[in-house]
Amino acid sequence: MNAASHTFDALGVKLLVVSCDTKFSHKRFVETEPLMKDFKLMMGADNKHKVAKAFGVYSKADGVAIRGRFLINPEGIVVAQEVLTPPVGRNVNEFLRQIEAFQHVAATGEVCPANWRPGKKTLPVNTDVEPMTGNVGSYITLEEILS
Amino acid sequence: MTSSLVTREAPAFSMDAYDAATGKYTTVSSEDYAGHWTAICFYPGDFTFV
Repeated sequence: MNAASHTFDALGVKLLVVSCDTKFSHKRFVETEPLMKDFKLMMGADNKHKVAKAFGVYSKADGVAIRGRFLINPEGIVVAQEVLTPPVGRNVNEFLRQIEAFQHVAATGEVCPANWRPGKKTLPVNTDVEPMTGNVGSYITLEEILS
Repeated sequence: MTSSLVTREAPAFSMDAYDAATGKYTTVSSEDYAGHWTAICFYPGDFTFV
């Protein structure tokens, strides 16, 4: 996340990382771990577990937050979430792809099909004014989706 | 545990924080992020790397 923070900045996305550690632990972690040398993000200290519980990612058995990430739009609505059990890390590139797709949808009203990334074909909005007729296959081919 | 927050309003929150950009202790709340695209990432703990 931190390594890609300039990309999040460019997309206008504010970042917050949270664990159930204290703020003192966060500071020590950043200052002592070589891999954290260039880390510049805001780190929430949810040592009372309230925030992790509110987001449904608190593991009572281990007393920690499990790996959950949430994308919230400017209206305060959660538009995407991914939650993984601890042993497997996340892929920031897939998260960035989703952010770009959600922002494209918000800006244009178009719909982003599977595998969409900027520049690829979208689907028209299905409204009364501009109804989508026929099958999805009338608008996009499988080859276009998989490309 | 709630099943999914997707399509729902994000929970309000407020907590202590460490701002790694400034090296200062501070607090963060959901109000700081109102009106912005926001990504919140939970992780199990400091000194873990996956």
